[in-house]
Amino acid sequence: MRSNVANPKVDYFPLLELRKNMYILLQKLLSQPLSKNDYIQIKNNGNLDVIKGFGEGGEIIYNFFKVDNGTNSSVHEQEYYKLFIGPGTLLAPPWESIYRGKDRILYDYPSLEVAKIYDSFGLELVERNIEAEDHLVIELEFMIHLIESSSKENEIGSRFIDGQDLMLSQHLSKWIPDFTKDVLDNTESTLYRGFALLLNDFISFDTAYIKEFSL
Amino acid sequence: MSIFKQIKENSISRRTFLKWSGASTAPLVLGGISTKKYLKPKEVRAEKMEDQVKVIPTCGTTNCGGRCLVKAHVKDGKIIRISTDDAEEDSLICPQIRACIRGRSYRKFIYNPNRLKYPMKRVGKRGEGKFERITWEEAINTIHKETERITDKYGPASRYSVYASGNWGGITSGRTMFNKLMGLTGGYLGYHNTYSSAQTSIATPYTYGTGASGSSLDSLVNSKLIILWGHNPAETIFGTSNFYLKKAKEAGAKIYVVDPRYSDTGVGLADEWFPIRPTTDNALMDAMTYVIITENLHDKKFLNKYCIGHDEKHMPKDIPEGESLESYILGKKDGVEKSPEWAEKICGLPANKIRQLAREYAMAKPAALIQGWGPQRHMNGEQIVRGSTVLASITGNVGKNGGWASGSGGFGRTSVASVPNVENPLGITIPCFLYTDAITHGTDMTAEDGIIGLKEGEGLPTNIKLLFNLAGNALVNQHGDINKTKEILEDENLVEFIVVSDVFMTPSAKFADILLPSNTFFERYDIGLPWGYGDYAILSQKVSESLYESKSDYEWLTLLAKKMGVEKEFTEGKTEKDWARWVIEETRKEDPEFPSWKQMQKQGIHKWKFEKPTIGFEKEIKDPENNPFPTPSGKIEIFSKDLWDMNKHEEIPAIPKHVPVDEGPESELTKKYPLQLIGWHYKRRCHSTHDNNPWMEEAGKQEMWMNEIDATERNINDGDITKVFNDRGIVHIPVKVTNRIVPGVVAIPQGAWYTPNKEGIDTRGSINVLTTQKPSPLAKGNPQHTNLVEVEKAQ
Amino acid sequence: MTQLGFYIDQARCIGCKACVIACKDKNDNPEGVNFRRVYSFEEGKFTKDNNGSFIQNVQSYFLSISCNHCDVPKCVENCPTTAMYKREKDGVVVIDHDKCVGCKYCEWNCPYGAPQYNEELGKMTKCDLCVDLLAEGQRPACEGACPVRAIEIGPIDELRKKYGDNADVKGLPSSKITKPNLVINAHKHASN
Repeated sequence: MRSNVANPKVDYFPLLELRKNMYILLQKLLSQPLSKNDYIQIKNNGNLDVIKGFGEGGEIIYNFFKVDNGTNSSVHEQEYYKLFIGPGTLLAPPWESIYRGKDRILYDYPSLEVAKIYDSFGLELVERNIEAEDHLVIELEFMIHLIESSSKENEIGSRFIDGQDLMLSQHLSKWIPDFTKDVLDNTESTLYRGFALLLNDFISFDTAYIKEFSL
Repeated sequence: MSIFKQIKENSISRRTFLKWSGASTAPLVLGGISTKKYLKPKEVRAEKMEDQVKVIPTCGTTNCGGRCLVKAHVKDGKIIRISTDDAEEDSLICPQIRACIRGRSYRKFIYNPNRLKYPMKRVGKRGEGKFERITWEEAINTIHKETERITDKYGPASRYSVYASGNWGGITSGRTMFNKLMGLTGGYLGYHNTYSSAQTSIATPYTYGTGASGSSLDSLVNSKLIILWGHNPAETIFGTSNFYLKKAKEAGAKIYVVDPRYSDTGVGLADEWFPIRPTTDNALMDAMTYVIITENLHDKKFLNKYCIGHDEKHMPKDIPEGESLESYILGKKDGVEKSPEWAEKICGLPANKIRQLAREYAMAKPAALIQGWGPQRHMNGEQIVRGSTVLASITGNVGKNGGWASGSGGFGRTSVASVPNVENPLGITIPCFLYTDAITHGTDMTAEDGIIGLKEGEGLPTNIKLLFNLAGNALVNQHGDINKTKEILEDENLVEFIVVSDVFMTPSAKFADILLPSNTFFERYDIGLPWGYGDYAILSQKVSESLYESKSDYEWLTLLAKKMGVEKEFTEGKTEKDWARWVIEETRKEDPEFPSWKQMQKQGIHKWKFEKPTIGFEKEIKDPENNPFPTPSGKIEIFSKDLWDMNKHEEIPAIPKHVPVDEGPESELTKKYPLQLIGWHYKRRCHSTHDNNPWMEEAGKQEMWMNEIDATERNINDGDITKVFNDRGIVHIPVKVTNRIVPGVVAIPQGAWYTPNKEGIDTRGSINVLTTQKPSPLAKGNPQHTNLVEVEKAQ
Repeated sequence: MTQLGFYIDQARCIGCKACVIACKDKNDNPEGVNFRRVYSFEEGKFTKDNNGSFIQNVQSYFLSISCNHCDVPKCVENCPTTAMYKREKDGVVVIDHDKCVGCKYCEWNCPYGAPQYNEELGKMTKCDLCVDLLAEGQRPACEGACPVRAIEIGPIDELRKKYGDNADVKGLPSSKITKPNLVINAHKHASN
């Protein structure tokens, strides 16, 4: 264990919770267009103060939910479709294979690699073919799983930390910057611009941060 | 790197981090937000995660005549590589069935991130392209509701499935299964013809009584001369044509190509290129006939024994004098001798070249004039078809090994069992090209418009009100006059409901009210057959599970059938896999050599071997007494009384003649639009499939061919973006300045996806922005190569 | 040493590019890197005749070319790190990626455009006659792809015995420079 943080054991566990919730928030913003209900939930029950200072993205997201009531939800929904689902040419296809493979197609080598990683941690897809393993939502879900598992452990420096390090340094950090650029280049929606910036900053932060704990 | 250094370098403020690292920080709370879980604990299983690579033979079922063997290399349920036929034997009677560049790029097709993934419903105006995601249940319910409503209001004849060939599979495509479902529930408006072969399939029987005028391709090794007339098998794969043409060359055959373009086939296989202007083929054919007759090179014995109409002595009863082929050619009635000097002004091929072509064709015994399907896709396409059959007849090349009867060249000596379907209780079919007419004024259309199944003077019972467009792009992209088609479809009072299923958001899919994600051929079972000339059948195997929520047409039509109360009759208790197995087992009953289901799963392909060629009309020529041609007279009808009786002698003459077209080199319109525009089938697409494949763009850029003379006149250089336009629309497309095309003609490869900019100008080069909806006179077919345009440099 | 080489039946090539794509696929090459390339050439033009017809003398042909595993490979000669070398047993010219630094000298020196720079790897890559497939008893990718069977690969002596020894056509540099192990059946428009 190496750390320059003042007292990792004390700081570590609350931070785990924070990091986990960050991944949950990012996942939430990506997995589906937000319904009116979602807006209300986030406004009323969410405590987004924490992300306010987290880079430009955090600021945007914080302000967005402070102000927006979901009245423009259909506009943002259409942006969501254009960016991530279609129909038509996806402007920011959220799969690692697209950004790291040569041909910009699904099921390239990254999907095989992360499938192997999930497998090594005892996980598999609930339903095969319903989504590729390297879709961002699933990679984020996996991070959440690892964080949850590592919080059950008492020792810092477990294989779940290694897993997070592996996912971040060998996978997420290698494609999120390009993915973020595609989102920013192709939408005016503050919601999704904020999401992309927050995602990018957080992944680069977390990639460095996790190194403090990996063996 | 230390975390503190990191913080200094990125935008996270130190305050935030300290806030974060303080144990008393209020956590980021999200109030019970949950998202769908994609991962679960692994099930305890005997096998480990698949590291093995399975190789599964299969084939594509796009509208491709080649239907090659494609081997999918599968690891952990994902296709990681595609390979093709590498069988030991690669002989004349049993060649390898190798994939072309399209087959090899299938991974980029199935794993394209832009695949349609979820059912969607339209929000906004029809054609705008705005959709939102719905469940399959909602999709099927909506389709069911609308189908019932429209059927109740307008009757079953308002239901129409648009001509579509994106899934040209053998057993349970959306095309055929729509017919079954609607046939079981009151009927539908059907269609006849295709966009490929309307003119030739209708016209050829007027000569021979049937369209089955082809022979097996191995017969070509016996030809002394092969003329590929508007036939480009190097790009439009017709079974194993290229292999056999090469073998023919090796055996000493001369190959000539007659085409407005020096096609890849011409470059690679031909000894000489004979360039002519589009729509003038009959002038050339007439002149060839002139040379052959005046130089006494015609096979008089053959003509007198097998044909009628070639001279005055051999005419049907009650036809006035001067209507025979000979009279027409020698100008006995109209005073115009159809000499090479007459023809060269029209078709552009110099008179001495016409003579060469005529003499060589007549004297090469035997010779094969293979009529491609390109030239028949003209406003006078029926004449071109009939003309080629006449040339074959006057030279006695019908029914001979190494000869070729020309015409549509329909052929098939192998077959598999067909899946049972249901007859349409309404029994009405329209020519498929007239579908937009049937939307705007169907009730005014009668048998005169080519409609089959109506009583005398009767119009269609209703206009088309409900459209199913399953696996096709002919709703918009491949149909004539896209701007007009758009207008018609955008009007929700005309067609009240449009269902589309496709793999991608094509220009046609944009017009859906309900848009359904289709799976690909890798994800379902089917039987793949080549067009006619190949002696093989391939089991198109399911190689991986359907991605996302995609379903095959058969699968969701089954759900709809259930709602409509006819599920049992529709599926007959079988899935697609069951049907594939059924076809194989039924075929085995008739043909015990055919492999079993298990064998087909392993080997994927069955190749029939025939020791010798099968020759079209061999029986009719060897033993005409007992095998008359299936024509009214029992003979080859150079002069067709049936055509004569139609009484449209100018447009539809009883013998094939050069009939000038409205948008051709001889028309007034050339003053405004001086250039002829044709299309062709491009090697990097299969019609419009693969247009969105970037690998294919590297292999073949979307560009228009233009002769150096025309380009220089207009100050256009190679690579310039040009504006191509006529009264029907405007297209922007880069130009390839080349002398591989006749002056006065430009060519845009068909199938590019219509991509309008804000001003409504197509920016991808979709040829149908410039084509017409007016049909050809006899077949009511699509004249998609008959167009006049002007070209300028784009600003 | 049994030198391997190519026979290209240029007279039959229809420019379909199946060989290009098969090779690209087998080698996992990115856009822009093509070990095998098909070039098209044209000459001649149309002139309008007095009779409303036109006379033409257009000539056109395709040429499919990859690496010729030459007897005098300039790429090997001029490689500063000895990464590029000619195999003892079959004369196939290959690149040792442990030594290659991606300086592109070989690219400059090859008259046929065979060595190509792969940006991702940062090294040079080229046709290696699919020696890995040959070792397993399979045929090289381009040969197996051609619909008109215009590519044949084997010992160059045998190919020369069968098809002659012409390695010169219009558009190719003189075979005297690097002595390519290539036999071409020239297209009628491509004969020198």
